[in-house]
Amino acid sequence: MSQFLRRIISLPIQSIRSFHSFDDVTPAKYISTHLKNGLGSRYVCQLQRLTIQVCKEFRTSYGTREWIANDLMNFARQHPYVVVYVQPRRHRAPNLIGEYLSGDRQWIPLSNCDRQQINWWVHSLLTQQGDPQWRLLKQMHTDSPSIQGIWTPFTNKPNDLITRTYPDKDLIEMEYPQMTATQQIQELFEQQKTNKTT
Amino acid sequence: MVRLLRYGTIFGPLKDRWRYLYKNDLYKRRIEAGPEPERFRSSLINWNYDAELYACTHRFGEKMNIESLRNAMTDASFLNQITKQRTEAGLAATDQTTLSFTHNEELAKRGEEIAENFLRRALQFWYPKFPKEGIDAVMEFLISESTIADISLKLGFKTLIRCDGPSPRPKMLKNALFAFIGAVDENNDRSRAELFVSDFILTHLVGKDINEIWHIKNPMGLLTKVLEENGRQAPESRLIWATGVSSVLSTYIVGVYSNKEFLGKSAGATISIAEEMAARDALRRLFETDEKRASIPFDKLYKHGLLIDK
Amino acid sequence: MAFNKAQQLATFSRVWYLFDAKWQCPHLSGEKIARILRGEHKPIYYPGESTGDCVVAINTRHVALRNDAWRAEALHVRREYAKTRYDIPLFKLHELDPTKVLHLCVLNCMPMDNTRRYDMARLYTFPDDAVPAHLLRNVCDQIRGSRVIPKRLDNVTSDDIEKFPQMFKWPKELVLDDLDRDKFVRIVPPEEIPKRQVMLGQRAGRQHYWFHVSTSRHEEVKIN
Repeated sequence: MSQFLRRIISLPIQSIRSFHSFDDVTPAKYISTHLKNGLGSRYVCQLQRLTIQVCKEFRTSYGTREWIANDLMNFARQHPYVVVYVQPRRHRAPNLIGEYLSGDRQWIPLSNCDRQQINWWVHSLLTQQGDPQWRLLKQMHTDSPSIQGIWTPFTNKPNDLITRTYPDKDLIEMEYPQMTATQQIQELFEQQKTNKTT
Repeated sequence: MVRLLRYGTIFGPLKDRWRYLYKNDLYKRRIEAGPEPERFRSSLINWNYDAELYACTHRFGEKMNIESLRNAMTDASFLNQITKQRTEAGLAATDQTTLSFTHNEELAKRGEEIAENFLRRALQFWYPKFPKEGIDAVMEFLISESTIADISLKLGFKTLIRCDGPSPRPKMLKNALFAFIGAVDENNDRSRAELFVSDFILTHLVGKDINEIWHIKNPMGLLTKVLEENGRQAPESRLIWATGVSSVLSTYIVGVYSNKEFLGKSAGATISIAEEMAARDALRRLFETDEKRASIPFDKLYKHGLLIDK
Repeated sequence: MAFNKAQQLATFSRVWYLFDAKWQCPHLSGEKIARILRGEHKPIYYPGESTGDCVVAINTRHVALRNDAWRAEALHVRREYAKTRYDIPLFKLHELDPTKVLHLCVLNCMPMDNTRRYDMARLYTFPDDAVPAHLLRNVCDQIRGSRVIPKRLDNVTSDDIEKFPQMFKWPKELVLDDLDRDKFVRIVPPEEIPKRQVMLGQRAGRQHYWFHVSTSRHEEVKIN
């Protein structure tokens, strides 16, 4: 049933951390960036705001608390273009919610992650462009595939073929045939003739 | 906590008759209630407008005063709404002068002027042989409301704009982007604003063919006109290749020549289409905008002398 | 139409080829034609894509099989029920359908995948050089044969024969003017042709052909 729904409404998978069977139908697209990011003279970080939902008591958000205590200030100082909200919630699982410039959001549950893993997930959200997890059809894309001009069946074809009427007698035989015995004899005969005259 | 109950089976939470009816009723009520109404982003608990504005100045690497950015992001409709609310609350018109901010109409005008001026100069610099009408058409495409609103949306201005509705209309998005450019001009210098235009508006041309943005209605007529102006003979078209003539997938390749000199060629499903496309191809070769032409070097436009001449 | 669409049309257009099968070995030309039908001669070839071209093969009645193949090789037909399989020798098959031999040779060179039948549908075969005009108008290129076409003795003019260098002289008693066919060969009237003997019963199937073919239609004439 979920397979069928996926086929009709191509919903991307919710979170990278949630279990996803790759036997399921996954929506796919070609690689692209919003507004050709990085083509101009600057790169714009696509992560707009980051919300960390954390509990002060539960063991599940231990690593999150540690990260907030030790690394959050440093992170905010290094990346002033990201607005960080810390949202304490009593007795619930810690979450990481990233909202992006294009209006998309990414949600990552942080239960039982240690400090290093939290750091990893935060930077994962930071370096994404925010559209949900698509399967990429190809790893590369170009708008101008060839400078020389794209091949057609008519490139490198002799140009006189259009003026002929088909079937054409000149085009029936082999292009470079071997010499037959008859031709060899004739040639020898010619040579003998020239030798006699000289 | 592990959920051991299995939904959707008779052993799950729908096992009891009353529970099934209860859930069913809840479901029906939710359907009746209709979709969730659109809400302001600022109505959520994690929202700090000053922090958002501060991040916005750093995002594009512009040094700006927060107050001028706040003005740039304030739409006229927001101001109207506030005055309306105040009159409804019984405040006199004289008390309404205490508002510390203005709307962004003037900044938007200023930004639009900068953008138009710069885009025209950049296009004329990189495509010197492209005629003026073509550049006008490309400009119209780039400055159009849909394009600018799309750019503004992708730059994350949607949540920053202060207006009367939860989702800003394209007109507001456009005003916000141009006002941002105006604010950059106000706080920094002109070159910084132009750099912003080249980085975010001019890059919209990547992957698009400017020959197609400017739609020529009669390419053969234009080609004869252009050739006449250059003092060359009128164009002649010749069939170069034809295959599958009587089949569904027929292909004709037609070349355009002037005084036995090659101008351009193209393929088409019929001879008339191929001839028309060949004329277009000849035109874009004459204008030096064909696919062999390098794309605009966005990061190096300034080194090529676009800014220095000012 | 946009430029990229025109480019797409040009790159993926199906080119129509003509092939003259007269005096050509159907096995060798089958390889050539199969390559073109599958599109393997193009640089854009990719197994999943259908990039093949169309081929019009004419004069398939006049193909030249190698060695003794007309007599010795056969199409093996296995029918559903027991003792009903039979062979059709190629010369008989050629009589029944003169385009079948070339068709089978091309089919033999196609790999066994599911695009096979769609590729074969792009092959048009004609027994003689009578081709519908609308097909001939499509053609824009011709495939060259893989064999040199031999010149038959009755097509050579007598001048050429006289001019041809003679390596040695035959003794007079050994020379026969065998170009004069009527002197040696008599067209047999249909009454004298032996009747077709149809084999009946069990022996008709397995080891023997299902028809009797009269091989000799000519009769040697004794010269006094």
